Amino acid sequence: MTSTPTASSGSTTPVDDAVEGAPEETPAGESPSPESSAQDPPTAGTASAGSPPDPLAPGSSGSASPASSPPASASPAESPEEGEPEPAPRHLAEEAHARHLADDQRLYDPTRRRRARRRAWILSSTLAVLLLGAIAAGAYLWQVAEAWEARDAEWRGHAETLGGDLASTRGELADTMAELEVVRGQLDQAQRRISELADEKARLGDEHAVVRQLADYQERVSQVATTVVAALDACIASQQRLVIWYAAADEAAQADEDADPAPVAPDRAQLVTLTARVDEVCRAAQEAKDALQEELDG
Amino acid sequence: MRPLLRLGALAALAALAGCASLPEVPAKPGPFEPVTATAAPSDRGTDTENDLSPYGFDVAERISVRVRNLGCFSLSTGSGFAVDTTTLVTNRHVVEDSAELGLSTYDGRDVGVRAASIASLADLAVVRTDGELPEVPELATKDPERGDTITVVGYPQGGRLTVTSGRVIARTTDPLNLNLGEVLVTDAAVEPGSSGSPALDKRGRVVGVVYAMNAAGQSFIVPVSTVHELLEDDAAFDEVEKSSLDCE
Repeated sequence: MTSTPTASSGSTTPVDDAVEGAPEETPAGESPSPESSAQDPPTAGTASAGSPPDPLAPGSSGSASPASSPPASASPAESPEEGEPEPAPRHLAEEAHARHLADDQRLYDPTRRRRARRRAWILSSTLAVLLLGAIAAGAYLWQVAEAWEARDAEWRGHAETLGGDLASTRGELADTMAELEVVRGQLDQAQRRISELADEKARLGDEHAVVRQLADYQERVSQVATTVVAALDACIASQQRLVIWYAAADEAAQADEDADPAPVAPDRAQLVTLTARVDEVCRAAQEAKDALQEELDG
Repeated sequence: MRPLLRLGALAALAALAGCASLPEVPAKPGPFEPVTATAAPSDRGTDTENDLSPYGFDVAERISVRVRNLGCFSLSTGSGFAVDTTTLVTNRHVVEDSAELGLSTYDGRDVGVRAASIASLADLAVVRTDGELPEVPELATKDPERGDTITVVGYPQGGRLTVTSGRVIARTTDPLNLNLGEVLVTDAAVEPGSSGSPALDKRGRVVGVVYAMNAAGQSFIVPVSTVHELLEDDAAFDEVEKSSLDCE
């Protein structure tokens, strides 16, 4: 946690100042302990007295970070002043020693130890909570996974059932489609047959209507012909009767001349009247006959 | 200890961040309730492809009626279609000079005629029936345009019910001077006996009434707008007197 001046403040800080100010380099808020102040004087005195190099210095300086060496040789403290020995190795050793002392101070600082314990407790509590949470989450997820696996099995079973049903339904569908095709064919055939029957019925209806109309006409013609025949019969009968009457009249006239008893016969005036009536009957019969002939000629 | 604390804090933060980035916490599945799909059968009565009625025949076939005109020693046939359950529209020349009118449906059922009326401004006639007609089509609200497809359903030559298709070619004045206003010319094949047949559009609506044809095989149609005008005018049709139908 300590830092060399070269690392913390750069080359602008002289190594001498770093050595002299080693206690002040403790982190902010870490006041120097009495022990450190009690142990510092010899070191400080050694550093300030300019005592000869400690034989251990090279070894201790060797344990220091290599980064401390270059500043010792390149720092402004090396500014050459004639007659003074090279102080760098000595300062490095002192710095390392001071650093060890500072570390010791920090290690054995009760406040720092309480803080460290509190941080450790917080950390362990946090980790414990996280661990418990992770265990709970894992348990929950395990249960969820189990439930989903069971559900998966249910769905698989259901899917297999549906697959079976689907296959069966497809088979039934194919059968039904085949039957439907047959029914469609029968329906088409039935439609054609219905249309044919309707057409035949309509044509028969046409023929029936025509025949019925013709029958009506023939019935009317027959009625007219019957009337004509009756009229002609009446004409003929009247004419025959008229002939008889004329014969009777002639016979009566002949008897008068022979003075024999004369038969009963119409006189001449009656004959004229009878002749006119017979002519009227025959004229009506002729007219009926002409009308029938005209109707038949169309 | 500080690095450990920082490490712990970082671990906690990482755990929280990881939790935040995780998807929603999976829940346990609910009760197993498989849904069984049910397929309802389609309504075959509204099948647009075949347009089959429940009776197996197309609606277009069911609306067409065969008309028999029995004159004085003459017989002619035509076609017609229902505009309501007891009213039939056909051509004037189909019902003129008739001693007796007879109607029969697609399935051979005879329908009695109560009265007939003819229009003087168009080759159209209205026949009132005693019984109900099988199917009543919808009349289109506007005339078809040139190029539109039409379907003619009728009884050519008084024979079987026949369906033919064609397209509207043009609008023209009536070459026979039977109709006031313009008529439609189509290339749908018709024959004598098709007079009075309904011309239907793609949706099965009546867009005109066939009344004539020429030697080129083109058919002439009274547009539905004229039909609308005459049907809405009570004075447009003159009833044919019963005495004039008697053939003595």
